Amino acid sequence: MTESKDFKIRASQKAADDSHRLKILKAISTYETKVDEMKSDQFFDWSVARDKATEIKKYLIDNLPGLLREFETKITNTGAKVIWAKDKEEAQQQIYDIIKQHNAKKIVKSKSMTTEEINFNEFCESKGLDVIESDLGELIVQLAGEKPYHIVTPAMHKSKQEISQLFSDKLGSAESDSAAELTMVARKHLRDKYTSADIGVTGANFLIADSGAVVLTENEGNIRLSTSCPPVHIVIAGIEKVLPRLSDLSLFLPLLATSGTGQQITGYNSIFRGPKKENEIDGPEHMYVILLDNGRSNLYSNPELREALQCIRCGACLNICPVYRTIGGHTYNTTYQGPIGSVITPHLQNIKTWNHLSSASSLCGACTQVCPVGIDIHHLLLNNRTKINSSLFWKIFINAWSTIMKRRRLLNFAAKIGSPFQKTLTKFLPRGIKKRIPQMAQKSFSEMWENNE
Amino acid sequence: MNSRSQILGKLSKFEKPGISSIPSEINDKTIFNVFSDPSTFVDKFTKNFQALNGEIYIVKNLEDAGNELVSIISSLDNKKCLSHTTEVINKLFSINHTLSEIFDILNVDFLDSDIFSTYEVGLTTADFLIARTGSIVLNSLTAGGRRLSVLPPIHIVLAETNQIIPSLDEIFKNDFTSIDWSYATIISGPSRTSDIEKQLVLGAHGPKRLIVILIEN
Repeated sequence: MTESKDFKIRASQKAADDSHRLKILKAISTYETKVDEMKSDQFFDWSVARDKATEIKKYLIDNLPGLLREFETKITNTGAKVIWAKDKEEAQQQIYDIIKQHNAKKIVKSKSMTTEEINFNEFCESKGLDVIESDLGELIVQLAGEKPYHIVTPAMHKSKQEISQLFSDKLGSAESDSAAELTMVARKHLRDKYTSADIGVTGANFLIADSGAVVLTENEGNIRLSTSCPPVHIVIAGIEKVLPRLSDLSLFLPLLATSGTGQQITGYNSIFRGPKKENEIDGPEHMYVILLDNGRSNLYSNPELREALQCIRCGACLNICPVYRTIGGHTYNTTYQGPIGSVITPHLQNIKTWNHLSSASSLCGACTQVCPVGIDIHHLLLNNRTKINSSLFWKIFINAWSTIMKRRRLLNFAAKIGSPFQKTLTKFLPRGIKKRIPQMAQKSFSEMWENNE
Repeated sequence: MNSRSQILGKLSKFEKPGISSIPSEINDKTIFNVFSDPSTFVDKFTKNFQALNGEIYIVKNLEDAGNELVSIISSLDNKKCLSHTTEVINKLFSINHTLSEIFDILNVDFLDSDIFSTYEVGLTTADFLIARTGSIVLNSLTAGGRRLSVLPPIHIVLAETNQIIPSLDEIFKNDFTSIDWSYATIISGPSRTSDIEKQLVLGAHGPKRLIVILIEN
């Protein structure tokens, strides 16, 4: 069965799952209340902040190769090593080389979508390495043998009861209906993992060109612990993550926090400029930054689609999307779900397999409206759709349709001939139980208008 | 041809350098609700820091700071405390002998994280406090490295009121970025998570309590 057919089956099953819908609506409505409050509390005017962020991101896109070179030079000067990876396989091999070089066995990893992209966990496990997810939500989905449900809130689809059962089965903890107690189970489970790990692996929220810095934002402190205790720090970052200046953070950190979780600023925003310095007491001896392309340059080479690279992965378009809310994150079967995921996945992976996602949208435009960096998401989806049907028949059909629609007389004529066929035709059209296609009116609106009826 | 030149080569074909000039630097006053009256900074920081579940003690001088610290520690079950050394911390320990006895000083013996993990309290100084967000800014050179402020379950920060700045943009305008640290962080409240049914829980992996002792000057 094809991915596209599978997608439709999964989508119709999830859409009819009431308990799934309840859990998602509960989580998203909590999120929405906080976001609305924070937008008005924190910002003079959200749209001013958004315009400024968009301006900086557009500058970044126009100057991407230059800014990447600047970042590389600056961070190499701090003693970190920069490695470029074209695709998943190359990134996996490069990481494996580092692991072997340091004779590492235990890896502690923080939440990172790039590591999902390159199947980091599966790869390491296949090599007999021990990988621990340290973010609470990621730990939950790892223990459950699942993939993240959401790019910001990986375990959004799990209720307290389900998590309690999971922890009891996998970690042997007592069952509990308190989120605080369950969090403490995870804290206890992970505590010595940080101090015993050989390597800490993270993603990157921002790469700063003017100061050669990697910036990571989090609430739990697992990133800070994973980058403080182990002797090696590996960063896996998408090449589009660059910002021109360190000072841009004073806008981007609050913007990401507000759009992502409705916070003013996340709990910890850490700036890394290389491995431990000689005069510092601790920190990793080695730092590697892997710059991952994996299809991003395909997006970059398309003038209509390249603005999708402005994305800061806040998840706002997922939360607002009526399709995401109905079919849920797992239905997409992709690393990046929701509207932005549907835009980029066909280009990061394979357009033939994944372009059905561009039709998983009502084109209502809510995603475009909430995007904090001004990506015209629903038009990009529409743009992807034009790539689905490129057969000769489709081209003739769409050209004929557009010729008719643009000429009043032709349209009237077509409607006249079409009207008698309509009744017969509707009998053969697929339709739902409650859906009836209405009869065509005797006279068209334009005829009534001309006759002043 | 290696991957670096392949990726950069492909990108370079489509870049448009010089099409737009670099956007002006961020001025927080034009974007956020920032307060410019320095006399309100202490109140604003206190209010915003407490809203993030931070605990704050405002004291008149270093002597009072010492007494406050002793009383905080006396209420703990595990009284193992660790500190780095700075001018102000040295001075504090020299005037308060109870503290100088309680605290161990961070040195090369602590390279092993297992020993480090037995400590309940980490005491550090900070670079800045941010009034608008209630945050604390510190770096690995001036705050005893990376672990001291995150591994112990309680993080206590010794700071002075003249370290309060109105908003984030001031950090990056400052000499702060020219100091040769490898790590800096903006801390906003104790460690937290909402990964389980969006309910806020404090103390996910990092410090469960974040305490500021703020000395007026």
